[in-house]
Amino acid sequence: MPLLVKPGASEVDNWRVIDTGEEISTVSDIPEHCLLPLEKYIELAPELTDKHGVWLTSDADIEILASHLSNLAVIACKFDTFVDGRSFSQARMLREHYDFNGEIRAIGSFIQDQLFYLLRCGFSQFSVADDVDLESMQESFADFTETYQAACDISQPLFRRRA
Amino acid sequence: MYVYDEHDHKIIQERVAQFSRQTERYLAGKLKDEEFLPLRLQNGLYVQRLAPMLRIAVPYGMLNARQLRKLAHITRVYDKGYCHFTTRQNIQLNWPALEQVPNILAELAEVEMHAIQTSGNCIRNVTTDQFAGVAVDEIIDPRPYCEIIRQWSTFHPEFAFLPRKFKIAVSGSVEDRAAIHFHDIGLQLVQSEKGEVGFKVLVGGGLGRTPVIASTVREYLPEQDILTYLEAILRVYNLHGRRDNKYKARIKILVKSMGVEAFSNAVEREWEKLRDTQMLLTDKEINRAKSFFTSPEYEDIDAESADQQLQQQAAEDKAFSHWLDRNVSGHCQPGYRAVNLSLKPVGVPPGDVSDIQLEKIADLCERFSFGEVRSTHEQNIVLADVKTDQLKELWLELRAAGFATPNIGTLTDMICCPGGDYCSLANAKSIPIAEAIQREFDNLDYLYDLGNLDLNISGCMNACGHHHVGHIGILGVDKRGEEFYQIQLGGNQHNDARLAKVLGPAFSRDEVADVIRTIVENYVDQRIEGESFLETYTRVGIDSFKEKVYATAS
Ligand code: SF4
Repeated sequence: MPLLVKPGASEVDNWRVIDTGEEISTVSDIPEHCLLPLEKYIELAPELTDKHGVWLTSDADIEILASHLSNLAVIACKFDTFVDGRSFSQARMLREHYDFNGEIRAIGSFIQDQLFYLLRCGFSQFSVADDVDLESMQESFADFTETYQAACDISQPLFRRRA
Repeated sequence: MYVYDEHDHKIIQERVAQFSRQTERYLAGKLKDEEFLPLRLQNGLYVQRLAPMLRIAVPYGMLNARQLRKLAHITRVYDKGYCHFTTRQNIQLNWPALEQVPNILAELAEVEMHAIQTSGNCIRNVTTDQFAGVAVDEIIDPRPYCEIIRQWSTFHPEFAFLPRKFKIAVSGSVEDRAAIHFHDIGLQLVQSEKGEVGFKVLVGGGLGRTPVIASTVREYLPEQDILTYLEAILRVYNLHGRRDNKYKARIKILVKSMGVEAFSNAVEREWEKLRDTQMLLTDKEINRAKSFFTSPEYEDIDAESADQQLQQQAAEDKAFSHWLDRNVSGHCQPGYRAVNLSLKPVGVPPGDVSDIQLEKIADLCERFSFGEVRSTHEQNIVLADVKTDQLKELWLELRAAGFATPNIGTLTDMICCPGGDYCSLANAKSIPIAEAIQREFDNLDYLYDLGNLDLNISGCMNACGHHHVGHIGILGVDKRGEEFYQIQLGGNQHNDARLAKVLGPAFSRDEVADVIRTIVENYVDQRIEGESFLETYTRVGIDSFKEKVYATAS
């Protein structure tokens, strides 16, 4: 089973990612703890609960989700390749433009060495294979203890905090 | 010059520790090649034709004596005793060993230096005018803003995996010496009638395969808004820049495809949401940044008598007088001058400096220029604050050390990329071309008569040698596996920014110097009293040159 990791903790990831191609016609087909593709989620949204989440491709326009955010506990951003940095902006906009307070989860092919930046951009959970080196991963969360910019982890940039 | 506080120190030390762990994981096989690639690139580490290459950041070109000595030490211990100044004011080591890079970074951190974001698809080292703070035509000193931008862009969490590399240049003077029209973002400092400071914002310039002159997206942006506005531009680019084709991934392509107006509107919309956030600059921070770039303790000098003495010295010694004309620039402080050290003597690859020379520069800047130097994007060094009455003494020292070639701004002060001797992307070598041209034009009187002439050489269309903006540009091309050189004419990197045009079919290496000779002779024949190369070219057109060159060649 994959793991769901966050700073200082990890647990089994019992969420299923429903692929874009999968046939789903009614909500009863969907068990709890499923992440739906964006279009599917929007289509079925009125009947879904916060036991369901949505996953976004890196080219998704998050504005489409705006009216659904209060009903969502989990939004996942999927990395097809770790060098595609669009999800960093998506997460920040969800947090900062839309005040989204639920979990933002990284899924797909991000890498350990991005964890610190991902956290700063508003990601809160990371779905990884169960053979990862958890200790080394935790180290990467804390690559830096000081930063120049304001981001989701710290509201004031260093220049406002300098004595 | 900016001085690190405990926060800055902490951040670069943590970076060194992070990269050491990453290198260990890589060497232990725990990090795949393709995963390590962007990590090492963002620490300045390329793998090149012969060995790894490490690019060290010189933030907006400022270096002090202590840093120069450290660099000398690093080239000696970790490399072959020399390094190379690049066209973006940075420094490259050509032969470091991968396992030792974390040690090099640790040594650099001791003197407040690093290799952060000197390559990779992220925000690169910000560049500016080498005469910042002393230029006669300066409106506002750009360096405090460069430092503010440096800090903002360092480890920016959102913009480390952009579609492509991203370069920012800032100019604070009337004449643009920072090539702001050819950067992803070019910022021109301006002062409003009320004395308020702000920026004109240009976006989408660049060289490379598709050279483009930047477009203005905002005529005036108040200084406090610079970081939020940069974030808005970068966010629009990060989300919408092309990622499917690396040759179409720069912001210039996005601006072209959206149209400047639609692009600006998208930026403005995003900025509306960002402008009142905590990233809005404070007066306190602007003043803090400015406090590091105050004037040094200039002496009160009787400038008039110093100038008289200088004129007399010049009259007595022709070589000194040539050097004064070419290598010494004006200064906003009476009794002072800015001095260019030429890194383009004949027989040395343009921009290359040995460990001993680095130490010599360190000594000289301590004796003559408040212990600081600047690197230039023309790949030379500047001592910015030299007393007029010490110029002769300095010149004698520079001559002995090999820095007094009086060719600044002339044909032999070429911009030249490392090319096929070092670079794995090259189509052709560039250093031997530079050398052949230097040997062809070794007559100084002839060079002076030609006046200012920018000749730029790139070993491939990536254009690190800025060939599109040379008055004469030379581009290495591959013709059926052989190295050939295409000649371009009429580019200009300054205020009246222009891209060069291709002259015609390419030439073999042996032909290049002769062709340049023919081009230059055509200029001399055609020019009307006082006209520069570019002015003559503009008046007579490319065909006049074409006829001469291809008539002699055939
Ligand atoms: S222009 Fe080409 S050959 Fe020259 S340094 Fe750049 S990539 Fe290498």
